[in-house]
Amino acid sequence: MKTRLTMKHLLGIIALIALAIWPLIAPHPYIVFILTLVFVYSVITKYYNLLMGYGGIFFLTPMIFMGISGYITAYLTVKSSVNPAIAIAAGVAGATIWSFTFSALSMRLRGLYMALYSMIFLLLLFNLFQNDAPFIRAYTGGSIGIFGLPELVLGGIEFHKFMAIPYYYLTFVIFVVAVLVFYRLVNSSFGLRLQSLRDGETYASTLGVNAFRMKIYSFAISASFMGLAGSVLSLYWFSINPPIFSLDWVLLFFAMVVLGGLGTMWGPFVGTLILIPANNLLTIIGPYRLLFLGAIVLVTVLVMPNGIVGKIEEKLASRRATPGTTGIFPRMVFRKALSTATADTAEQK
Amino acid sequence: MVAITPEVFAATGIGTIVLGSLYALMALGFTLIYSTVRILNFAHGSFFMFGAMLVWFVSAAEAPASYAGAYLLSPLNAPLGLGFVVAIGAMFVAGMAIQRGINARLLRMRSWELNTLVALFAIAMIVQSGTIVTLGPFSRDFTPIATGLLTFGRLNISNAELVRFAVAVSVIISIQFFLKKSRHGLATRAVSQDREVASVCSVKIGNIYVLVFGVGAALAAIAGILLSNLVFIAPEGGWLPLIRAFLIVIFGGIGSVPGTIIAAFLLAFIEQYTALIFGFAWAFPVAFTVMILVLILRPRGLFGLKE
Repeated sequence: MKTRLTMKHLLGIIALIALAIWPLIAPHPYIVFILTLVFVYSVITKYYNLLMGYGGIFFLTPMIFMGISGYITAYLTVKSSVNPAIAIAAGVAGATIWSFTFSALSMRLRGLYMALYSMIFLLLLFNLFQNDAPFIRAYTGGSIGIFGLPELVLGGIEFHKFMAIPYYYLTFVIFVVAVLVFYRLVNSSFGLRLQSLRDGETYASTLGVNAFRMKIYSFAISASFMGLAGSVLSLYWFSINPPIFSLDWVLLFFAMVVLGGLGTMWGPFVGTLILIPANNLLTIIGPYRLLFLGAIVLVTVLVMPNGIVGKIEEKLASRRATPGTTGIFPRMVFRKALSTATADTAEQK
Repeated sequence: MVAITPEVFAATGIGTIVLGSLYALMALGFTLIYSTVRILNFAHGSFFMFGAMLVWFVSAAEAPASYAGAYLLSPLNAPLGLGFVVAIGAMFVAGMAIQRGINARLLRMRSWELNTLVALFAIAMIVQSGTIVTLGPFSRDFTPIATGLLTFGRLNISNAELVRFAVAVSVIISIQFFLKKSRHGLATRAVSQDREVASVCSVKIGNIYVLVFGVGAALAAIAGILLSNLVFIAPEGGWLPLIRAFLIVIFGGIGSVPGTIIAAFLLAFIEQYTALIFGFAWAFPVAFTVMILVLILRPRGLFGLKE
């Protein structure tokens, strides 16, 4: 697909170079820390968005894959003394394989059922991983989890040294790769097919879109990236424990994606960029933090259901409004036309 | 592992019946909301939990020693009955307010399914963390509804269990009456069967939604109050009941009240006897695995009506 080099692209390239260079010039430990986390979580939210925003699959719990991969990595490095880099790969593989099971079991579930199905699995995993029965604890570390992961060392560099800047670059690279893959996926026939499934599954399947295959593939790709993020995180924190399967994470990821904008390319990143520092700062106020996050999500979904990026796109589109389109997302026009059978509630008083 | 004597077996059976009725109550609210308003009430579990918390707040003497005064609100030491009334009434009103204020707005949007899901999840988290902040994060129990034991030969039934069962059954029966005999119940059924035709027959859909959501919330609160006499209730304790309600509704089939009730007892049965044989830790996963299998093999459930 040919694209012109527009101002947008130029700005993007400048931003990319800036992000790549600044740690070498004037690194600030806190900002490095925050940006590292932002990059990791952005990968997760981006593919969360792929499933939810572009695929219409209400998969609420990316930590299913994150956590499994993280635990695999932790187990391999701590209990089996495997090289961390290989353990990361193993974690990714494990998460991807697990995603096949997960998506295969959920094949016949549409929409909202998938939402609760993912919640059920999350609770099941949480129960399983914090179970202190001896034969489980040997593998999962029970309710305290696995800690004492070894340092990630590649090319002789210990990744936590130098203010953890190596981790910054690692996550930066992962992030860029994730974005590129995402971009190629969404703008290809794969992306079209995925979105067609979201907009009207019955119609799409008459056109030859194999819903089963699409779901398996989307889950597999998303799971591998989420797993990658999870493994890197577990090495970054030197530990992993059951709370990764808890609900506050669900709320956090939800908030990031909803605030940024579901179904948009950069929405999740914007949401992550805003909420990760905010979340960090909010830990000061303890239990009020979740209250805040919940309130943010609620207000966002009421006022800007398409998130910040969605709102911006709306503003931009309405400025160059052309007759015939709704001005927001052209695909929404198709959805309106297709959704005769679905309960499209309009003007309920 | 407990030796399985006939007494234990029978006691588990009694527990199944009581628990089943409570689960049915919870699931009834959930399926009412789903078949009428067509949204999965993600906040149902938090209604369950908060109803119980409200009773605690009104009627408990004071918070446990280490938490007393540490959180915003300390309980008022009022009579238990007042607590029940306040809790159920408050949840009913809250449910109506949520529907009127939030859901109504979201239902008009294009992606209403997702947005209501998000909003209700957010509400659930707000309620949960709000409870932690104002009332404290500890789990609590409160004074049992009734004390004493009835004995039939070697069978013991506690009065508390009887009361729970009786209350649950009477509420379920009254809901049935409401649905079948009252005008608003008729309107509710009409809306759940065919919303457009119902609105043509001059049913105010918006108002029915509000009523149904309020009733659903109240039912969850009643279930929460009754159940929390049995087990401790903690702010995080809303999610398990939500998942149970969901499984029951799916298993029994959407829009089918008898199916829901049967499924509720079935779930209670599986849970209780698995706990008896394999221990408490396994009750949860086993019951859910069974139900998920049913979901996969027969997505419509036992008695499900066509969507």
